[in-house]
Amino acid sequence: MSLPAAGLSRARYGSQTLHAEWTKLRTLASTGWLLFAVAVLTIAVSAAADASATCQSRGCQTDPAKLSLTGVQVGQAIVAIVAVLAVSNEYSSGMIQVTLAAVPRRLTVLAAKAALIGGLFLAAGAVTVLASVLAGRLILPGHGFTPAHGYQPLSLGDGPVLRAACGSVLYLVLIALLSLGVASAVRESAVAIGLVLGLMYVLPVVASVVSNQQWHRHLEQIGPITAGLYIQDTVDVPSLPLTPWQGLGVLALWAAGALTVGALVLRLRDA
Amino acid sequence: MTTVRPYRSSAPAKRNDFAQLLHAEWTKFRTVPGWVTGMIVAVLVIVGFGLFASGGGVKASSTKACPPGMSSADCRSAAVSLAPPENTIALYLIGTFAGLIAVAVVATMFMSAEYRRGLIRTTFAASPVRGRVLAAKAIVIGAVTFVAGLVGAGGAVIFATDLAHQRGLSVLSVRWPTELRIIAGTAALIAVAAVFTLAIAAIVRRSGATVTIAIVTIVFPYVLSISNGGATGITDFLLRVTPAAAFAVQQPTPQYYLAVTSPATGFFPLAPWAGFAVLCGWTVLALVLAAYLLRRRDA
Amino acid sequence: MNRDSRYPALPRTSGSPEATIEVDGLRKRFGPTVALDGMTFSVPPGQVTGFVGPNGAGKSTTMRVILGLGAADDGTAVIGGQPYRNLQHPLTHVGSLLDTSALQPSRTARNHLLWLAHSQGLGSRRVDEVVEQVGLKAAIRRRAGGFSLGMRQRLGIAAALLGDPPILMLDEPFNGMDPEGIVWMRGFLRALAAEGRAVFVSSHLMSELQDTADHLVVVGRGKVIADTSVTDFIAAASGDHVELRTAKRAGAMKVLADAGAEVIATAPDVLLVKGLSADRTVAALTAKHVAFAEVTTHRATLEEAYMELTRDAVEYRAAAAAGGTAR
Repeated sequence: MSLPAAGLSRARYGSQTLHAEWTKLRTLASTGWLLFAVAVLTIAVSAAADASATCQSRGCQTDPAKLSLTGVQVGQAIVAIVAVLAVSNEYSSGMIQVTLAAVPRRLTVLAAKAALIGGLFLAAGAVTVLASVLAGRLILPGHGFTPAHGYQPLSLGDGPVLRAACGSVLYLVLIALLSLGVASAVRESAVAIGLVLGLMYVLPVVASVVSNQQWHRHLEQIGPITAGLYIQDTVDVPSLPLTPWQGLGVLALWAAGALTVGALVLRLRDA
Repeated sequence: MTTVRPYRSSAPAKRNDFAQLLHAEWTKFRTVPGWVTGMIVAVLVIVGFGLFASGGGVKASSTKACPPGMSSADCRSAAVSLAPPENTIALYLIGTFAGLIAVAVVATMFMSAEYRRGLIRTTFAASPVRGRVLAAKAIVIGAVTFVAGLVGAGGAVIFATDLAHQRGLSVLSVRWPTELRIIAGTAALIAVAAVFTLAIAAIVRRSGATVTIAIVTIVFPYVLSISNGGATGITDFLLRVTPAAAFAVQQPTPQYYLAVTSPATGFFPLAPWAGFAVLCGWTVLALVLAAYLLRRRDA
Repeated sequence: MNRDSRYPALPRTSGSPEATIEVDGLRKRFGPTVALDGMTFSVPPGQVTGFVGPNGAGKSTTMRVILGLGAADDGTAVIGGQPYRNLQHPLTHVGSLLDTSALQPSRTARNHLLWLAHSQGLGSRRVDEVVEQVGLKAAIRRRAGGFSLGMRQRLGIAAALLGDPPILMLDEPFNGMDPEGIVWMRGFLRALAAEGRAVFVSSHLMSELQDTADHLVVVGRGKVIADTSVTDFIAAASGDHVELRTAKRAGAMKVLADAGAEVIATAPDVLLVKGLSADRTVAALTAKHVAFAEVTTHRATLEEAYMELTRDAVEYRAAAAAGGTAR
C-alpha cells in the first residue's frame, strides 16, 4: 500500500484544513444553537428598543438606524462566545494535539479557523442585521417616526442606512476575530470570555464616566466597541470623534492585534 | 480459605463535621494560584477604577436637595437644569462591575474545574452528601469574595476620596452609616454574585456558558444603562428584574436627583436593599436548582 | 450469557462485616444501553479480588455505583451493610482510585492530598506518611499537571490510602506502569491484603492479575460470569497441552491418537497434543520409533482461560487482520 506523495500545494493544504475545521464546527450541536441565539437575541432586542422609543414631534434626537440595530450590542456577546469556544474547546478536551498532529502548520490552522468563523458570521450577521432593519422599518413608523416628524421609513436604498447595516455585519465579524485571537492567546474558555466581555464593557463605561472632554473623546476613539459602533450612526455624523469607517477601522486594528498575539502564542508555546 | 483477622483503620474516629468540609474546600481554593491571582486582580481593578474616576472629576458645585413633598417627576425635571453631575461615592465604585467579571471567572472555575477532569467524583467519594459540598463551596467563595469586596470597595472609596480632595474637588458627602452601607453592600453584592455564579456552574457544568450567563445577567444591564446615559425604558426594566438590580446598594441617598440619572451618579430604579434582595432571590433559586441537579445526576 | 457451570458460586464469606463489599442484583441502563444486568458478588477481607472483564463489561460502572457516584436502577451495593453515603468519613472505610487524571493541573500533588485529608479530619502529617509509603516524596511538591502517568498512579494510590481504610477499590491501577512499577504495585497490593484489608482491583489485562489476585470475579455484558479462586479458574480451563515438533507428522498423529490424545496440526511440522503429559508423549513416540525434534509443555495461563470464557461476552472486537486467524 503506497501513501500519497507528500508535499501538497499551499492552496490544497489550506483548503483541506478549512474543510476539516468546517467539519469540526458543523458537527457540534452547540454551534447551531448559538448561532440561532445570536439571531434571535439581536432581533428581539432591536425590536424591543424600537417598540420602547417614541418621537413626539419634529427634531427628536433619535437615530432610527442606530436604534433598530441596538440588538447588535447584545448579540455581540454570543458572537464572542462562539469564537472563543471554537478555540478553547480544543484545549479543554485535549483535541488540540490531534489537530496539530493532523495539520502541523499551526498558523494555517489559525488562519482556517479565522476564515471559517469570519465567513460564518458574515452569513449569519447578514441575515440578522437585515431582519433587524426590517423590524425597524415595520415598527418605528407606528411609534411616531413618521415622515411628518422628519423620518422616512428605514430603507436600504438610503446610503447611510446601507452603510450602517453593512458596517454592522462587518462589526460582528471583527468581534468574532478579536475573540478568536484572545482565545488563542489565553486558551482557557472562562478567562477568554471574561477578557473579551471585559474589553467590551469596560471602556464604554470608563469613557462615559470621565467628564474631562478631551479624555472622553480619546477613550471613545480607541475603545474597540465604542469606535466600532460609530458605523451605525446615521444622524449628526460630523460631530462624531471619528468617521464611521474610521471607527470600524479601530476595531479592525484591535482584531488584528489580538490575532497576532494569538498566533504568536500558538506558534511559540507547547500545545 | 484462611480467615485473616480484618484490618482496622488507624484513622481517628471523629464525628463527621461540616467544618472539615469547609476546611477541605478552603484548601482547594487557596492552593490554585490562578484563582488567588484572580481575586487579587478583582481587588486591584476596583481600586484602580476608583482612582481613575477620581481624577476625572468636575469642579465643585453646591448640592441641590429636592424639598420634601415635591413629586419625584417634578424634581427630576427641575434637576435637568442643574449643574453637571457631581462626584458621589458611587462614581468611585464604578469599577465594581469590572471586578465582578474577574470574580465571575474565578467562581466559575471553582466549580466547573471539578467537572472538567472528573474531580467531582473524587470530591463526592470523600463527601457523599452532595448538598453539603455545594453549601461548603458557596460559603468559601462567598467569604473570600466578601473580604475581597470589602478591601476593594473600601480601598477605592478611601483612596479616591483622598485624591479628589487633593485636587480640590468636592465629593457629595454622605453620613457614615450610608457610607458603610455602600461599602459593605458592594462587598455583599460581589459575594452573592459569586455564589450565584457558582450555582450556575453546578447547573450548567460548562465554564464558557456559566461565565457568559453570569456576566450577561449581572454586569451587562448595569453597563447598558451607563453607556446609554441613564436608566430608561428597557434598561430600567432590566435593572429591576435581573440580578444586576443589586447594584442599587451603591446609591448614596435617593433624594439627591442630579442632572444625569444614571448609575454612574448614583441613581437606580430600586431602593438599595430591594435591589439586593432581587439578586438574593435569583441566587437562592439557582442554589436550589443546583442542589437538586447535583443529587439527581450521576457524578 | 449465563454463569458458566464449571465455576460454582462460592458461599459469601462472613469475615468482618465492616470490611466487605456486597453487591446484589445491580441493574443500570444508560438510555438504550444496558450497563449492568443483575451484577452480584462480594469482596471479602484478607485477599486480593480481581475484577476482570472485557471493555464495556460494566466494571467501572459497578465501582461507581458502589461509591454512590451513580444511582442503580435496581439492586443494592453496601459496604459493611451500609450504603456508601451513610458512612462517616468514607475514605476511612473505602479508599478508591477511579481515574488517575482527576487532578487540577495547577495544584501541587501535595495540596491535592491535603484537601482530601482535610475533608476527613486528617492533617498534613498523614499526607506525608502516605507519600512516603508510595515513594513519591521527591516529586510531591510539583504541579500535578506535570506528573507522568506512572506518577499519577502512585498519587492515586496515596490518595486511596489516606484514610488507612480496610477496603481498597482500584480501577485499572496497572495502566501505564512501567515494569518496575508493576512489580512494586503487585507486591504492595499483596502486602495490603495480607494485613487483612479487602483489596478490589479491576483490570482487563490478565497477565498483571495472575500473580496478584487470589480470587476472581469475571464479568461480561453487565453480569458475573465466574466468581472463583484463581487456581480453580485456571485448572478448569482446557489450556494445558504439549507442543510437538516433528517431521513425521502423519506417523506421530497416528501414534498419539492411539495413545488416547487429541492431536491437532497447527503448522506443517507442529502438533498440539491434548490429554497426554510430555513424559507420556515422549514415551509413546519412542516406543513406536517416531522421530521428533522438540517437545514443550504449555501451561494454561489465566489469559487463555479468560479468553476462552469471555469469548462471547466481548463487546468490541476489531475485524481480524488480513492473513490472521479468527477465533
